Amino acid sequence: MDMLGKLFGGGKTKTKTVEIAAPLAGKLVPLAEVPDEAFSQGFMGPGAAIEPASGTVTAPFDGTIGHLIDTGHAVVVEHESGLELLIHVGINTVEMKGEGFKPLVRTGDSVKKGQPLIEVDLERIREAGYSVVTPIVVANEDLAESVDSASGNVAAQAPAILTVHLKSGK
Amino acid sequence: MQKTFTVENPTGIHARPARKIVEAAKSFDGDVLLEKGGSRFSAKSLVKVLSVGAKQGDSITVVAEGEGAEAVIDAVGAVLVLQESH
Repeated sequence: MDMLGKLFGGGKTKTKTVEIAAPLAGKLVPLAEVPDEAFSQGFMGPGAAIEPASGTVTAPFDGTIGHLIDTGHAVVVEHESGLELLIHVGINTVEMKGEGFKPLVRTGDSVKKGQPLIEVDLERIREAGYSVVTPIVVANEDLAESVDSASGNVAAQAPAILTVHLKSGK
Repeated sequence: MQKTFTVENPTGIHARPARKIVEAAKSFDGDVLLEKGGSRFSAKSLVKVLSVGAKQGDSITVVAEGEGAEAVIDAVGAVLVLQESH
């Protein structure tokens, strides 16, 4: 599809898109259902959330680790287009102070799509009383014209759970 | 112009407060910078704000110049001194 677009779409300026593969296996839910108003009201940026079925967070595209929070519960992955994607495992999990999170990469690392980034002990987080729902949001939404979201159950690395349409020109 | 604030939040400036800082800084046309330990970071990028790694008790200097600078410095400072409750 993308290939055909490139081959036959010539002439007009096309909006570039970035496809985001599922960083976790689980069930896609709208941000509005996330029990944190910063995410649910869209203040953290557009995106979706995954109710995870397994605890391995993988890279959603080839890119660079823009920042791995030192408590290991959140990571920003940068795409070559400049797009920054925040993956935030669980809600208020900063209070776990790193417990239950094992980061596998460091800030500045180059990563390949599907590469494990963080190993999460979901049970431990649930036992501590926190939601494990994981918002995935575009942190610099100024670059994005719009963000489309898929829905339903997804396997790890399922393609295009989010499709970000970048603003053209600049 | 610049002002220095002390981070009050027990969990420091993690994703949510960092985002609030970006939102506050973006209302200003010029540069808004956070300075800690001699390094400066743009307050308009989530990655950069998180890179500050600000913990409770850290002193962070907010720098901006020009018309409206004081208002944006105070808005960013208000997030730095905020204690989250939930």
